[in-house]
This record gives sequence, C-alpha cells and structure tokens, in this order.
Amino acid sequence: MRILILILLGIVTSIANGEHNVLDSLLKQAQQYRVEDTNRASVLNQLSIELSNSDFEKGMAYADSSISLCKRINSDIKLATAYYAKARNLSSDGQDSLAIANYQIAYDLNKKIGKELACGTMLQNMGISFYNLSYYKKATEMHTKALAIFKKLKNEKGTSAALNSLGIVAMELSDYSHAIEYYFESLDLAKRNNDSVVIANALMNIGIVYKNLSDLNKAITYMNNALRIYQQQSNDLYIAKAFNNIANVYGEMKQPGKSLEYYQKALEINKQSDYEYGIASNYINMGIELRQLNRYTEAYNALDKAGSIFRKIDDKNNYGISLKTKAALLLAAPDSVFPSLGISVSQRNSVSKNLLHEAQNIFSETGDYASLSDVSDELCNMFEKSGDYKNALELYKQRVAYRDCVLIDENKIEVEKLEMKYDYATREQELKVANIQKQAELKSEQLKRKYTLAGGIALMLISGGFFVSYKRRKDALHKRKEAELNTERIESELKALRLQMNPHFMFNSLNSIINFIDQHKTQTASDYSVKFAKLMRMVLENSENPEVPLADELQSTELYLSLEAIRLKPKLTYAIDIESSLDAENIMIPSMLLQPFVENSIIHGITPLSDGGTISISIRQQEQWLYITIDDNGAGISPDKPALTERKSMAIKISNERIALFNERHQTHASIEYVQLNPGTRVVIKIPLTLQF
Amino acid sequence: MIKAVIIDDEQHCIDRLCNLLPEIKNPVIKMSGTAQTVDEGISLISKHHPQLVFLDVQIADKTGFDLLKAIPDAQFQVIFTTAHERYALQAFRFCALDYLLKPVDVDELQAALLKVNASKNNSVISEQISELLKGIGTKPRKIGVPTLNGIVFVPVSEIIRCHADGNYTELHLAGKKQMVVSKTLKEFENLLADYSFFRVHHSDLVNLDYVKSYNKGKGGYLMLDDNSSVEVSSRRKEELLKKLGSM
Repeated sequence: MRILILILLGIVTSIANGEHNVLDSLLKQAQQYRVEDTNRASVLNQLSIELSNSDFEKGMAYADSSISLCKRINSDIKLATAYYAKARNLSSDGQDSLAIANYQIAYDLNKKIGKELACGTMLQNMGISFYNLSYYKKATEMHTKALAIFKKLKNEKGTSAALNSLGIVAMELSDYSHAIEYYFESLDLAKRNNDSVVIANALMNIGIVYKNLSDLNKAITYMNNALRIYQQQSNDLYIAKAFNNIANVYGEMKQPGKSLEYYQKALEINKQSDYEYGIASNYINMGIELRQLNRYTEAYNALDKAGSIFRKIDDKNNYGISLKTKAALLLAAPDSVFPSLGISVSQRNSVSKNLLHEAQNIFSETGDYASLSDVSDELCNMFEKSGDYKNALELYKQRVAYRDCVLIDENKIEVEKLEMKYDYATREQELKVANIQKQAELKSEQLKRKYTLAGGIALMLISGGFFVSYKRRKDALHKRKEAELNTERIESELKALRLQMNPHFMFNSLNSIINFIDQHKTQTASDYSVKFAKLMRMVLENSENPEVPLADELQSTELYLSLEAIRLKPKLTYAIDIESSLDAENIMIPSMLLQPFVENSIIHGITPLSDGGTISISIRQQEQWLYITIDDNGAGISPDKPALTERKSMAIKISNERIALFNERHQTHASIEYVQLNPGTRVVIKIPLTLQF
Repeated sequence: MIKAVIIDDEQHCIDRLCNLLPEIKNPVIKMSGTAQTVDEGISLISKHHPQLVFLDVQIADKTGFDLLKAIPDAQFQVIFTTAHERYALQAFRFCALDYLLKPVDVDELQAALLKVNASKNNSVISEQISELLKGIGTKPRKIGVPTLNGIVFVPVSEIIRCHADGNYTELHLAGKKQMVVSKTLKEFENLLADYSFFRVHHSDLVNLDYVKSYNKGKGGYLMLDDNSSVEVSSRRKEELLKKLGSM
C-alpha cells in the first residue's frame, strides 16, 4: 500500500509545470543528437527520468539503452545516473526489489567516483522503495544514512526530504512521537529559512499525525494553517490536497455534511487543473460520505464517475474499489431509490453480482487480497439471502482463505513494525548516552547549533495517492476488525460450550454425595466433597482459559478419576501414562477436553461390568500431532446396546462442536476417533502439538 | 500446644474446623473460643491472647483485614480461611501468609499447622501483616519470599529476572544479588502477572523494565541491565515485541 509518493531530488529537474514541453524538447534532442558521447547519455537519462512519472515502460527502455551506451563509452558518472533512472522507472512500476538493486549499483558507482550528494540521493530513494515493500527497518536505516550525508553537505532539500521520509516511516509504524519530532525539526528548519512551502507541508503532516492520534480538532487546526499558506501562494494542487485532507478529518468526526463540502471544494480545483486522479479520488470519497447521509442516488452517481475516470487512467485497483463500493451500495439501498438509478428493483441482485464479479477479476489480477475477501463476503451474503447455500458456502471458504492471506501479511508487517519500534527506542537511548558524552567533551552548545542549522525544503508530502489509499486503509482496518470479531465469536462460543460442561458435571457429583449420605457413609461423603470442591475450583479456573497446559488438564482428570473411584469402589482402577519425552507443562491443549470422554468410558464401559474395569489414558506424540488415547476394558458393543457412535452424552456432543470450532479457529484438522477393542472401547483424540514456549 | 481461636461468620465453617482439629496430633491445638463478627473477634483476641487465629476473609459486612487493622502489633499467627476470594489469595501469596480453602481438607490443614509450629518470629509476622494490609486492593510493592532463614521481603522493582531450576527459582536482583527460592517459576509467573514481567522462555521470567535491548533471531534474545542475555522462545517473540512496543 502506498500512502505517499515522494519524488526526488538533486539530479531531477523540476517538472511541476510544462511537463510536456520538457519532454518534447528532450525527445527532439534524443532524435537529433546521435553522437555516442556523454551528452547523448545525459539526454537519454533525463528522458528516462521524466518518463518514469508517466510511461515507465518507455522510460525503462531509454534507461537500458543509456546503460549500454555508458558502458561502451566508459562513463561511470552517466552510468550511475542511468541506473538511477532505471530504478526510478522500476519503482514506478511497483518493482521495488529490482529498483533497490539498481539504486545499489548507482550508489556503488557514485561512491567510487566520490559523488557524495548522489550517494545520499540513492540512499534516500532506496529508503522509499524499502518503505513501499513494508521493510520499515531498512527504510529507516537508509533515510538515516541519507540524512547524515545531506546534513553534512548542508543540502537543505535533501535534509528536508530525509526528515520527511523518516517522519512518514515513523507514522506508518504508529510511532507518532518520533514522526512529530521529525516534522517539527523540518518545520524548524523551514522557519529559519523562511521557506513557506516546507512550513505548510510540515504543518499538514503534523495535522495528519494528529488525525491518526484521533486528536481531530488539533488535526483540523494544523491543516487549516497549512491551507492558509497554500492559499497565499495560490498553489492550487496543494490547496486541493488540503481540502481533501480536511474533508477526510470531518468524515472521521462523523460530520458527513461538512466533509462533503470540503470534498466539493477540492473537486472544483482538481477539475480546473484537470487532475484526473484527484477528481476520481474526490468522487469516490464523496460517494462514501453521501452514502452515510443515505443520499443513495447521488452516492451512486459519484461512484460511477469515479469508476469511469479510474478506468480511463488505468488505475485498476481503484476502479475495482469503485465497483465493489457500488455493488455494496445497491445491495443496501432501499427499493425506492432504484427508479432514479435507472435500474429496476428486480435487477438489484443480478447487477450487483455482475459488478462484484468484475471487481473480483480485477482484484485477482492486482493481488489485493483484502478487497478480494470483501468481494467474496458480499457475494456470499447475496447467495445466502437468495437461498443458494451451496454457492454461499463456496464463497465463504474463499473469503476465509483470502482473509488468512491478509492476516498473514498484516501479521508479518506488524511484527516487523514492532521489532523496528523497539530497536528504535533502544538505539535512541544509546544515541542519547553517546550524545551526552560528546557534548561534555565538545561544549554542548556549538554542537547543537550545527545540528539544527542545516536547512531544507520538504518534498511532496501529501500526494494524490494519499486520499484513496487513506480510505482503503480504513477499509483494511475495518476488515481486520471483522476478522477479529469472527475470532471473538468463535472464542465466545467456545467459552459458552466450556461453561456448559460445568453444571452438568456438578450435578453428577452432587448426586454421588447425596447417595453417600443416604447410605450413611458420612466419612466418604466428607472426603468426596472436599475433593469435589477442589476439582470444581480447578474446573472453574481452567474453563476460563481456552487452552491450558497438559499438566493441568491431567491433574484435573486424575482428580476426577479419583472421585469416580471413590464412588464406584472397588470397581474402577485407572492409569495415566505420558510419554517421558513430553513436557506436560509446556504442551497446551483445549481445557476440559478429556473429562467427557473419560466419563463416557466409565458410564458405558466400566459400570455395566460386575467385576469392574480399568481406564487407561496415554499421551503420545507422533510428528506434529498429539494423540490422547482413552481405553476402557469394558462392555464395548453388544446387540442389546446402542452402537458406539450413538452412545454420546451431551458433553460429548459439546466436545465435538468444540473440536469443530477449534479447527476453524486454528485452521487445523483435530479429530476424535472411536475404535472397538476386544474387550472395550478406545477413544483417540488427535490434536496439533502446540507448545507454550 | 497451640492456643487458637476461629473467627468466621458461618457456624458450619466453624464446626467443620472444630471437627477436624482433634484429628491433628502435631501440633496439638487447644481451642480458646470462636467468634462470628469482627468486633466479637477483637475482644476474643484481647481476652485470650491466642497464638493462632483462623480468620475468615469476608465476615458479614466486614473483612478479616478490618480486624487486623484494629489490632496493631499482632502477636499471633494467622491462617486465613476462604472459599473463593481470588484477590485475597493473591495478596496472601504475596506476603507468604498461609490460607486454607473451604471446604477445608484435613491434609492441607495438617500442612498449614506444621508451618505454624516451625516459624515463630514475631517481627516477621508483623511485617507480613503490615505488607498484607498495605497490599490489599493495590499492587503490593514487595513480595514475601520464603528462604531458609525465614521470610524476606523483596521489592518487586528490584527483581531483574527469575530463572527456573527444577522446583526452585533463582531470583536475580539489582545490585548483583541472587536468591534461591523453593517455589516454581510458574508460581512466580502467576504472582507477578500484574507487573511488567514476561515469561520469555520455558525457564525465564524477565522484568521488562530491565531490558536493555532486543536482538533479532528466530526467537532472538534480550540483553538485560545486569549484562545477562536471555533467550526468547520463538513462540513468545510476537507477544514479547507487542509488550515491549506498548511500554
């Protein structure tokens, strides 16, 4: 996910206005100037870099021909730039890993010929590519190195760019305190240099941080301050961006009316400057807000407009999102809306289905699993409503699979973020210590001066990509919440099932106590009650946890068996055997798993026997599975008794449901199997071996 | 022979103990009386000066702690009796005070009374009780650790890490001090669950306040302020990083 696109620096000439003129003249030069020398290489490089923003395939071709030219004429300087140009195009194409490799070659060449500033630029750009790949740690490393170089060379643009990127990475890591620090440092630099563009950009970014911190009022204040500066400079593109961001905050504040007003303002400007991506972004965001206001027709039309622009500019993913959003809107809209959309109510399902299928194809192509999971969800709901359960189930499975892809991805990113965040804090501490020592040696104030004096200009902070991807990010968060909710649902169902076990088991035991009292066995009643209280306490505690150490489960099972042995004296003997290599404290199993099966074996296996019998429990590991076997040498099957599988108590049925939910929760294949012994019955519970540590 | 009283608002609980106590031969307990309210309990104690008080936690609308507060410089040992007050159990464990769960098991009663006989130092008792009263309802600052020489109170904030050694646990404290305690690591893990302790590994519980750095790896390892390094189990890595991240 790309939130911000940073454009660099140094070697690149500004392309803010008259982009076409620059391109045209370069193309002309390239055609006319055919001498194989460094001048031609320069032209090819510039052309390639210019094209990286619009037509990276061509850009790449120019870079390649420049690379072979530079190799022929042995110009390391131009060769470095050519690799840089190639990397820029690769990055535009989303091939950031390859881009990094090319930046690296350019960096090595520049280092060899001693071009320090260019080295800084390569590091800075590598950082951006790492950021795009979600390698935040690497990204920070690169930006930090780049920052050091820029500061040393007192290159203001570079310093600002690096600070800015560091701020963005920190923001992505939700490390808002560092993000704000970086932005304030950049604000500080800009104020000293009276550079109002950077001041405004820093203010805007600080506003974004506050938005992320849900301090929405502060966010609005900062963004408005930024807006005022952009307005003074009549910088239309940025004014539109500011309006859009402010609209976004109002949306978050649940003020869809106000939000719409600002999107409208942004839209007007974007229309004037013919900025198609901006226009489409505005429309899609407006569609979302309009739907909040139940203005379905207008919302639908806005989404429609967004969709056709995204399709025109070949922004596939956003086009897919517009389709998906449209379908969701149709499915939710009241019947009365349809005439004004030119769709008959009876077509609601077929139109939505077509939209969703089209979106599905697009997302499969772009590999956006989060959106795919969304689409499957909508389709699944549709089939379910129309009673087509077979298709609904199919799509539900798809959805789960996609959701897992997202979760795995997000988990990976999450861990990376956390590692990073922690390293951050540690390194900062080390730096602080080092700094204090240095300052003591070198008279602190001078050092501080030098540090803060380097100036800079912040770069394109808030690019067009920001808006839609912001909403998309919201979508992703939403999705994640949904997945969490589903997990929560499973957990709570499991908990409810565990709790059902308790009363059942309690009454059985109370019944035994009453029996002892009836038979005047007061000492036995007393012993039994004390043990029962212990077991009850343990069961209550264990059933609060979805999983417990095997040792705890065996302890409660043993206590249960000892109670039953008292009750059935002398008919029941028992043995529990655990493979010696297993560490029962470290193995986790679902709590209260064994008891119902042990109880079943006692009731159906042991009690019918006149001479009594034995329950043997054994625990074995085989590969990645734990096998818990419960044997009785009891009655087994006989013609006058129900078949094995039908001899199921309430508790066994609950256990089966638990195993099914456990499988859903952990995406595994735990199972329960019944085997006929001679004599007796064997129950084998197979669950994945899970360790606590 | 030990002089004892029972304070409990439920007659059947008093009866249960009174029925069990004659079965205990070592030490022999001589009952001096019973009380069913806190106020009766206070006057019972001041009248008989018992060596041992069986004290219920919830006594009508008051608690056994109210009773202890009313008697400064207690010269008696306490065994709490309780059915299920979990917050209290945690507090007792923290001060290494004994307690019995109701309905009382005769074997557990025997074990608790053997300990009464063994330790008779009054200053330790009053420290245990004063730490208990300080700790009720809040997070106690100190933890009572049974050692060979009696109970030592250690500030939780000075524990750098706990290392499992079979049924014993080594405590590594700030200032390079070490203690070996006959409690399992799991017991310490449960006791310190509300503090910034984290079980990074089967055999190590670490105070995250002392973490200097985390080094990546399959599970990675932590460097602590005492320059020791502790391995992190790969299964615990994610949760550990989450914890560290939120600190």
